[in-house]
Amino acid sequence: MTHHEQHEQLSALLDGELSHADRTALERHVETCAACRVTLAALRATVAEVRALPEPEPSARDSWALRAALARARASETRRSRAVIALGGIAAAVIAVVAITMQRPHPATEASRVADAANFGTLILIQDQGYDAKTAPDLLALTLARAAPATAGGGNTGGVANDSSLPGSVAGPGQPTSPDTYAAQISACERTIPARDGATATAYLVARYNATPAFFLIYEVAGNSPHAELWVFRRSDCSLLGFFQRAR
Amino acid sequence: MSEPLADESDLALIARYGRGETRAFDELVTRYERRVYSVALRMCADPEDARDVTQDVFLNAMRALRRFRGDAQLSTWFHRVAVNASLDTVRKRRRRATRPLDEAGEQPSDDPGPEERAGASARAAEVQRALALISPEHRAVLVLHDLRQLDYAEVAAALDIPVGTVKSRIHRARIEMAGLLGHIRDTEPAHEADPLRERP
Repeated sequence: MTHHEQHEQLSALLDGELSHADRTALERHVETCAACRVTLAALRATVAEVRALPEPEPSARDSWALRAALARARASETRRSRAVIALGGIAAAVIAVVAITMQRPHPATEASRVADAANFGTLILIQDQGYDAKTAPDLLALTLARAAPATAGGGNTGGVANDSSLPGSVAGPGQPTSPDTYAAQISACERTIPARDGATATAYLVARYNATPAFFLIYEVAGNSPHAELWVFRRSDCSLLGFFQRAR
Repeated sequence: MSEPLADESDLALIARYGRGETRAFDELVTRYERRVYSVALRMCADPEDARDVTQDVFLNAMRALRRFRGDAQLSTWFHRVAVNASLDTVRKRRRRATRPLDEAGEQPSDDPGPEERAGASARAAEVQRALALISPEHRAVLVLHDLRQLDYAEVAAALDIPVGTVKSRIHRARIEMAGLLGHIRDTEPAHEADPLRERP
């Protein structure tokens, strides 16, 4: 081996990538070669510094932006598929299969969920009203404006369901569905949110977003930079339609 | 209550995704997001580029994994796609000046920051800057081997190059970094016949 070839082998030696025979030969050479020892030391120091770099972590914002982008891409694929079906000439059986595979399985109702539903009942607000990217952030302003958690109302009804300061307040006559019906579906969407310490659910709103039936999940996040978050999910498949933040 | 999907293997999740279970894909996103972002950030040295690359990788995966045969490791696939997407971005934006990152991969803020960020943190910022200065091809092998802990064979598979090329590239990349970081002042003539810099 020429000296130059051996030089390249030094990195491989450090990385444990040499055969036993090659490693032994090179180690023997290094014992007698000051220049190679110097190089080896420099390589070792360099590798150590590179390895010491902390692993970067995507921010929560990056993560939601990623999921939102994927949701949008999935939605446009769905629209394309539905458009194909609408062109006609396709058997009803095929349409049924497509419809089934596009639905998300709903979690089974268990005894524990009945209890959760009761709690959800205090937080779920049903509106027929529609929001969009401009008006949705208003929900956060209202959330932050409420000075204290909803204890004033007493009992289970809390402050949200009967809060007439929220636009288009609550279930009037002709509102067929109760909050409990939505509890399991909201739970499913909520599970897609990355876990976070210090986040408290403030309200769950059932309304429309850009005319699409949606769930609005509102949280207050404590910590170094307290803020409120609004996550908007499409009701049918929990795909993320929007995300808004507002600092205190 | 734990999500059962978290216990499934990559291949099982891909199989489920192939059958139309979109949640299986979501689990893969959760599983690989950090790895992909990590490669992208160290390759691109810019958080916005890294975010865009990460999105591109998973948008790609949404289509590609429907047809994934499982003949390669999924991690190898993600590493390959992440490096290639990063290289595309780096080459396209080569002329745009990128602001250097601090050691956490964040844009340094204008305020001085906590006092303990002297010393070790400043050094890590220098290492990151040096990494951003070497050629993208050299950066790729160092990121995959030294940061992602892939061995030579895995790096070769991810980059679709021979193992011998991995070996020589890693060595040259380290010599270049060693020079930038001050571990080698001058190279002795007997040691290095080739020029250190390989900028295309």
